[in-house]
Amino acid sequence: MPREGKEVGVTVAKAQGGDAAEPMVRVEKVSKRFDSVLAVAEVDFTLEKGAFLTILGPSGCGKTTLLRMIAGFIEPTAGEIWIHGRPVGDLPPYRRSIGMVFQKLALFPHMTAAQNIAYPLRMRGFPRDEIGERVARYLRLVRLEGLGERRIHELSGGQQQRVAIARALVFEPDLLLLDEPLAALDRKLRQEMQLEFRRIQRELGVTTINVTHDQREALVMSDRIMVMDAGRVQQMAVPETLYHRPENRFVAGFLGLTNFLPGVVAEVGAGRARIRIGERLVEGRMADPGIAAGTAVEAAVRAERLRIFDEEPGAGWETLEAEILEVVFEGERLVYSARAETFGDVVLRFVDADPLRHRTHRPGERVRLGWRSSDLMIFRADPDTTRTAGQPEREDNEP
Amino acid sequence: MKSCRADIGTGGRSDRSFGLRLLDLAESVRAGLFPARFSVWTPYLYLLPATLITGILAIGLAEMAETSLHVLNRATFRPDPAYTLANYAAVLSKPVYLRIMLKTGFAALLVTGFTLLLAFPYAYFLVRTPHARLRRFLLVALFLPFLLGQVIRAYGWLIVLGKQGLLNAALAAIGLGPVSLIYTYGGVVLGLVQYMLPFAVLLLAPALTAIPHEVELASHGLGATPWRTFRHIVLPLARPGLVAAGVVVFTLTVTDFAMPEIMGGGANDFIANAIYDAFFQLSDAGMGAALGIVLTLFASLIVALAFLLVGVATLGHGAQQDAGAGR
Amino acid sequence: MRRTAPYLRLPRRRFLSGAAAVVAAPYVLRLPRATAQEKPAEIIVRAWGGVWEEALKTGVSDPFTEMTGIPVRHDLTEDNEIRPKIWAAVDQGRVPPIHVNWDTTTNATKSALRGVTEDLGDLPNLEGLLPLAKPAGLEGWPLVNVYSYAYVLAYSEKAFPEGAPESWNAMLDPAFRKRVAMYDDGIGLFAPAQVAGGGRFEDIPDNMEPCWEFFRKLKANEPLLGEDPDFTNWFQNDEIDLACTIISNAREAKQNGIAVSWTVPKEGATLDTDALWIPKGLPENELYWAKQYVNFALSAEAQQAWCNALGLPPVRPGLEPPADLVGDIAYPASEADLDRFLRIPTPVLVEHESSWFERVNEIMQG
Repeated sequence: MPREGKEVGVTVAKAQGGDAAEPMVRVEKVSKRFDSVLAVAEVDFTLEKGAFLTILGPSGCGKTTLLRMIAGFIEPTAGEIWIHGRPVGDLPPYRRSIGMVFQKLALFPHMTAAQNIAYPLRMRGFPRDEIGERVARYLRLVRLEGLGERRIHELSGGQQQRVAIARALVFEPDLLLLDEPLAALDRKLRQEMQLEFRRIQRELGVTTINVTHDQREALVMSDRIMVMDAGRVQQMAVPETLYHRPENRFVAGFLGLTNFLPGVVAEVGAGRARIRIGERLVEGRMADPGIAAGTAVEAAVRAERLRIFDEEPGAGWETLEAEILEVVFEGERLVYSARAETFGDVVLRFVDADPLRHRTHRPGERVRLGWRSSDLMIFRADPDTTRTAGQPEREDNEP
Repeated sequence: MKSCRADIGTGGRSDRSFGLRLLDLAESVRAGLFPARFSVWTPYLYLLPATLITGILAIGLAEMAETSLHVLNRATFRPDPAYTLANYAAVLSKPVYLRIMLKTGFAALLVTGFTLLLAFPYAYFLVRTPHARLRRFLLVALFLPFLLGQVIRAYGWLIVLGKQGLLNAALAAIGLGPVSLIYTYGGVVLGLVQYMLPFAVLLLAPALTAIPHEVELASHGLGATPWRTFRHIVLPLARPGLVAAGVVVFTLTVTDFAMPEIMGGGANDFIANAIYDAFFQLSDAGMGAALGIVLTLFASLIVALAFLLVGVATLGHGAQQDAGAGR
Repeated sequence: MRRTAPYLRLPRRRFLSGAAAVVAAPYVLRLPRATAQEKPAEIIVRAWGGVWEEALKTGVSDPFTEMTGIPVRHDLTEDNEIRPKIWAAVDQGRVPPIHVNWDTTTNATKSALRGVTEDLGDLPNLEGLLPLAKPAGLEGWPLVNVYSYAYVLAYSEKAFPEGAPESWNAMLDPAFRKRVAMYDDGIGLFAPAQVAGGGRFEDIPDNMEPCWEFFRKLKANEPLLGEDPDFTNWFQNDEIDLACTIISNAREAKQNGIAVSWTVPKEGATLDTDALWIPKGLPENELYWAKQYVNFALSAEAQQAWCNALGLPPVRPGLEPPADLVGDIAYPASEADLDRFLRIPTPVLVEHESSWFERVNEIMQG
């Protein structure tokens, strides 16, 4: 039920239990055009209360634009956004009940940590006592007890992150938006803060939309992930599904270290197909439905699904011979590159994360590689990406 | 063969050692010029030119102070050799000088206030507009009068605001007027505000640029209306720029000569005009110097007061801000 | 005080008068044979701008160049600003920045008192000048007065359809609020103000309260305060109806087609003089040619052209007045005519004028 905000003239649609049937966020056919560029194209999704959604995509995919449209900083060219069952198209940002954490945090440098956190409460006309009580509570929540009187520049990067999140949550908004706030942190602190954000989000049960180009962050933090590219939603699913059952070549390539093998469909079965790659005819799972025989496709297999076999494996496995080109030691695992002549000289990358094998293959060595045919995913060839087909996508697409 | 090689060897060595000696020499010269243990002083060397210039100014000021202690002998039109505070007594006792000082100070306050009021939105718009072409236009519009200089602009005002000027022609066309805006106190203030605007905008723009746009968005998102965002976020963060612009506009106004001279119609003199009159009209260098010293003290006092009030630290605050925002 | 900052100069107007014909008249410079001094590259004469410079150029400088081959440059630095420069140059033993200073007699006298002027007693053309030419209260000829001029009451004919105002008190009429003008230091108005304010001219400088009362009343009428070119400007731009100014400025506006006229009201008008002087410290040859310039300026031919262009009575008697000023009330043609005018003695001016300026300033900046 919407209730009147405490500040005169500012009406804030506020979550108070809410209608269980009504999702917290509904985005319907939302588009944004900047001059000739369609930044966001007919995006549709809903998000139930308490869920953590990550919008994942490369820079320029439209994810930040979409987030800012939800926040109210950018007006959609078309479409409608509902928050808590209410269309917000006419509401300026300061009348939407949304807490946002910005990429550069956007803390107020002329205020202390406590003053930063108190700011939204002051702007919303909370009584003084309640402001003090809440600020103390949220300082505790983000584990900054005793640091409230520090100036922003007197805090460490991680502490600043905590102030930013406390400030975004202290007024108990319907929705928390995270605009890549962790992107600038070093890896270790980032991983720590990912878990911290997740903990706070779970503790408060606040509906959250996070934007990132870091797939690991998306996988670690989210209930659901929406992958965007070129302004369009590529796939929206829970992390496991997204990783294991990508619906198109882009998603398959964006998450994980994936080998792409150009081929042509030879024979189509129920959800499966035989395709020709180089000299070989291999079987795989049809990830894109409705591919007919003779279609140019790309078969994808995750690097961690390729294994070295000393002997021929049993049924359900496909194998081929390959020559090791390069070995990269990454600590907990080895990453190999190998050339497969029978696959038309395609270079495959695969990982050996088995700590018990203790056998490193040298460049020049020939090995037998095998995979389950169910691990080979068949996608329609993307005209934009076939150029680089055969080259595995970067796994870690962080800066 | 052997000796030959030895020769070559010696030759090579002596060459090398000559080279090394040269390097040593260069090094010792360098070390003499910039001794390592003095290296903490090196940064201060860069202050030397500015210090020299300021030093020369100080000598001038001392000379002026000396001059101010002699009265004019009207039989010889030379300064009387005796030291006296009579000039200061005259400055402080004659109501005309007090009035001129008050008028100058009040005008400076008005000009500073109005200029900042006008410059702030201009600078803000200049910094925030996403349209490059509009920004260019705003910059050109700002700089064009800047390039013209004060005197020509004052004349522009005479043309626009004069009895037969554009304004009165326009007013006459709608059956109003004529109004006299030039040769008045208000006219001087108006002319000065226009003159100071580019200075203020140029000093404010960097301060506003240093405020990340995201900070304002954050404030909106946290529930602050645009006005409250301005009051609680933009204004406090722009303070270093406002102080700098305010101090510059105030001191430039309080020491201005041309605008009251041209736009004032003679009856709206500032202290600088009084100094001019003392030096040149009355040939009384002592009185002029005394007025100059008083003006210097007055302006310094105001600037010191401004810094005391808002803190000198505000000028260095921008750097902290950046560090804060960028972590 | 007759300030003419370069930026206040009027656009140069070609001066059209009979002066050009006089320039062409042959003139023989009487040069002592024995001294064949080397000619300097140029002679620099400080001058006022506007009609003043124009008159000097056509009346004196151009014919001088024609005769001697020495170019003359006019330095338009204000009289008040050049004075301290010359004083400083003489004090420090430097060559002064100009060769000849065209100055008000009062200011020239101050320089003479300070001892920075060359004596002009050996100039042949001093012969036959009116007594007015001789500096008052000074030994010898440290300067020479070159013409006299009246501070008239100039008025716009539109505002006085019935004819000229009779008294200086017209300036106090509230009908002309903000439409009256005077020199920014009050020069030229002290004597008329004293009389118009009910005082006696003879009481100057001892009791000038009537004079200050007049200025206080004038202040209430919000006058514009300016310098020479301002008055011409203001009349042309219809900013003022009445002004106490030198006749030349009003005449300039009139010659530009503005309906401006002038009068000497019943109280009288200040008559004053301008002077030429040469600063000390010039190299011998430059001093020689500077003296030749001053000497030439005092010749009948130069006086005729120069002073007619200015509309002012020269110090050389027997010359033709300009056609438009024949019989003009502000153009004294004889000794008898001088009675209409109020002439404060130069020594009094030198001693007291600065304090009068201060006094006016005090009243006007209130």
